Amino acid sequence: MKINKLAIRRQIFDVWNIPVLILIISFSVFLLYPVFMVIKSSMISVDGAAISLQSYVKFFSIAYYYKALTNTLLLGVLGTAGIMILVIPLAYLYSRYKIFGHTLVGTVLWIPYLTPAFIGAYTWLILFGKYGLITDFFRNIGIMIPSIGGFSGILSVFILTYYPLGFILLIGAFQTIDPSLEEAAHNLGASNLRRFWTVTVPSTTPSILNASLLVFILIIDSFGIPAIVGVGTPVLTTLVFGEFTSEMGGPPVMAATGATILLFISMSILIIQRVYLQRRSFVSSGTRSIDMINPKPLKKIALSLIFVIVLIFSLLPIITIMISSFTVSNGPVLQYGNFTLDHYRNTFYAVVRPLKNSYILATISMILDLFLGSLIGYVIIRKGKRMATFIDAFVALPLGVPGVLLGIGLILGFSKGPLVLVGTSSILIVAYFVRRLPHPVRTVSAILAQVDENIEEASVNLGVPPIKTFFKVTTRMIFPGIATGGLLAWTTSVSDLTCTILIYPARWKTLTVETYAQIRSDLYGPASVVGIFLLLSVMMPIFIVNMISQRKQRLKTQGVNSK
Amino acid sequence: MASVGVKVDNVSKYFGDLAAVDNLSLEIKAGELFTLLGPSGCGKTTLLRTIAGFYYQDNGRILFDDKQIDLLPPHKRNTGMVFQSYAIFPFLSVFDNVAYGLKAHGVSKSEQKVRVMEAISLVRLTGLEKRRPNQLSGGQQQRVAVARAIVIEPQVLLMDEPLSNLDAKLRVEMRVDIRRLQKKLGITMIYVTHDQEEALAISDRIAVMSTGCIAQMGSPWEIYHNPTDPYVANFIGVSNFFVCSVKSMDPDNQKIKVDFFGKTFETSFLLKAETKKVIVSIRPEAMNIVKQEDTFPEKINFKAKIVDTTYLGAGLRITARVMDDVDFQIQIGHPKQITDFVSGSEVVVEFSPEDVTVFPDESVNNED
Ligand SMILES: Nc1ncnc2c1ncn2[C@@H]1O[C@H](COP(=O)(O)OP(=O)(O)OP(=O)(O)O)[C@@H](O)[C@H]1O
Ligand SMILES: [Mg+2]
Repeated sequence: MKINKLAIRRQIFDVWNIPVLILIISFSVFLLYPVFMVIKSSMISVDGAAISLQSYVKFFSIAYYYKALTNTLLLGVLGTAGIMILVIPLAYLYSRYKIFGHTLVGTVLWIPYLTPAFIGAYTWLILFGKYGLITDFFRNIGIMIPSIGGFSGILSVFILTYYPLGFILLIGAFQTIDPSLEEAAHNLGASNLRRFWTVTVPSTTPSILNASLLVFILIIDSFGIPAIVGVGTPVLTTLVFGEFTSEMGGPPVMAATGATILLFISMSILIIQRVYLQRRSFVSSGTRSIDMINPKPLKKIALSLIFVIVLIFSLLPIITIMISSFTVSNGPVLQYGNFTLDHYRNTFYAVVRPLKNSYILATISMILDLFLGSLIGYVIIRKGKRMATFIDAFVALPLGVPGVLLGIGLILGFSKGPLVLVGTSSILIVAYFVRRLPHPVRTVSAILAQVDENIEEASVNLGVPPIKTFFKVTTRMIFPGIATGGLLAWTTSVSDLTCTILIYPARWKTLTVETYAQIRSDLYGPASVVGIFLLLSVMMPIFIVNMISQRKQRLKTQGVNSK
Repeated sequence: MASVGVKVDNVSKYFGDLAAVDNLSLEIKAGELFTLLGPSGCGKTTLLRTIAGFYYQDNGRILFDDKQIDLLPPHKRNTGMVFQSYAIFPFLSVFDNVAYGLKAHGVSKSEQKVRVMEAISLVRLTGLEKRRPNQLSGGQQQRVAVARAIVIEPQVLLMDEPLSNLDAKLRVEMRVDIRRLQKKLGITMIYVTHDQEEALAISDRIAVMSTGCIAQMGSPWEIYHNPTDPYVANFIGVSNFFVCSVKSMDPDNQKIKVDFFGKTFETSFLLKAETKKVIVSIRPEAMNIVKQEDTFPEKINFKAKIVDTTYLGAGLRITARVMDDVDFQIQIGHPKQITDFVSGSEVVVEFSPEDVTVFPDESVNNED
């Protein structure tokens, strides 16, 4: 094979290298460097001089520290197991049987996942906490039910909050399993239940494991839920947060140590997930999809009822917080039945500022994410296979970096020196930008993979240069991907607490921080008001995008050409 | 329209170690309809995309007239490409699809309108300008793709299997349209297909490709009747191959005498001195079944046994066997009685020596 210098020069000066370069630089500065700073801080010895592992020895020998690790791991395992046990049958039933309001159920199930986790936690506290509505109800009729809290409290709230993710991932798996497998089992006379356990579950095992790992990462990285529900039950995130905020004087060695251990766990999981499972869990024969069964009326009612119960649990937090925001309150005690608008009147002005802050920050970072993310998604799908694998893995790195760690890292890395971000809004924009970039990359590349490349080439052939073609043609073909990616980036930024609470400058207090502060001050009435605004902020764009994308649906199906 | 001649000069394109286009040269005259014909994977698309600029060749040059264009990026080459998948913009109306390239070239609004309508009428889509691509049939989408490519008055029109997604009847209709349009515009066109019948029907000249190289280049008639090697003979239409020995040769007149199952015929052929074996290629339709042996002295005939018959509607395809183990095909048009040709019956097969193509037999070593 001949080496062509001109071809090599073309490769080097290819315009598509620019977004890749921007990605590498921005991740190196705003992700890898902060991570490095945290790891470095965890290795500072007591005398401050040498590199040492003293802090790790300390971590594993003092119960106060290692308890947080065991709690985290235990919660991760039990929470994931609980969610899977709940979700496997549900997702199976949902993907095989037509029930009443099939699509509605599918949509509503998203709600707990999109609700900021700590808001969910807070509402469960309102319902089942020490002064909780339901706890009180039972107490009044003479039954003492255990109030939510501690280890079991965190565990149940984890399950109630994160099961939708498992559900959604598994529906995909059950729907794309090769139907002939199940039919074969059926022909061989296997009963439904037997077929489910011997054919369906094993053939979706990679998908189940994949979903499990993703849920596991979500659980161990969660800060809001254990911080609100689990007072007295330390986990790694809350430990790190506590250590960091109290250690402010010297170098935050123990916070950094805890964060590094958390990083180690979530990175390992992410690597396992990507290397072994991601590809296999998305195998689908593609040609034929499962036919849904329309069950007999009685069975249909029974099945629908199961989902009604699930729906109630999904909607309960929203309903609760809505009612609470209108209820007379005295600290954490809500006097149900007595309605008032006081909370709105008193809290309104306290809300405006954080609302504006959250929107500004999330919007700026979303625009950056969309811009770079779509270009990167494009490069991954369209340009060179070798590069693509590397970029694809590289851009996924933030998924394995816990929010608390990035927060600490940004503070350690950018409080002095040439680039000072601490105390400015940029630190939040940078954090959101880095953490959410994987979303648009993923949604854009997923859609782009199905778009006929010839359509873009036709544009170039007609005289429109490649980059201009990208903006004129490609962006229109991948609009649904951009919309979903932007939506995910925006809403998850607005609802971010874990990282925000560590790094927000006083004058850039966000909605989440405000809500959290109210909850921690036991001001349940005002907290509900701020919470409502937060909830509306996350829900509204979803409805808007849903509306747009339904109109764009036509285009999308056309774009998926005869490839 | 300023159409140009295209010169591909020793071009190679590698994918890793695979030479998809292998040191290939060809010259296409201005205004010519030139077809690249070859089996799947032989490098037709790769060559076309290299000319359009979507791939960059690893060596060699590409020239339009005398201007080397291979350093230009694809959007500056002014070629019009029609893709197999049509690749029309799904979010634009028929009109806007066709106008897309003109906008990019900075053509004024009023001129755009005139030229777009003209192109739309050329491909016979008048009245459908406002339609969305998803409201068009496959054939109509194909026409939009053609209109979009010709409206910018490209120097060369490149078509990559433009008809392969259409049904058989529409394919025949469209290929007539494409040729008519090409002649009317006088545009240079490179047409890619793997359908030999299509290639023979529309081309001025054909290049038959095989694994990155050109096996033979010539007019449809030359390619069909004078294939230069068995690969081409077999790829273009069906051919029967018989291995025969050379009885004698006359190097001065470039003629040889071939022993054909006991009969001898003479044919013109340039051979290396010591050739002993040749391949005799005869098309099925060049053979006939006759009542008696040796009625016409200028024809050759021999006895064979019918093995199988296939009724084709317009004719009959007969598989026959000679010498107990050599099977071959005969095609006869309009048989009066199909029942004349029952399996197992003995028949006399006839052909004229001028319908025969002879190749050296490369499977045996002729030198010893
Ligand atoms: N992007 C690519 N990367 C690697 N190999 C490729 C690529 N494109 C084509 N090839 C290989 O190059 C060879 C020629 O491919 P090409 O697409 O030019 O064939 P073709 O003649 O157009 O075939 P078809 O009639 O099936 O379209 C094939 O072996 C193919 O596998
Ligand atoms: Mg091809």
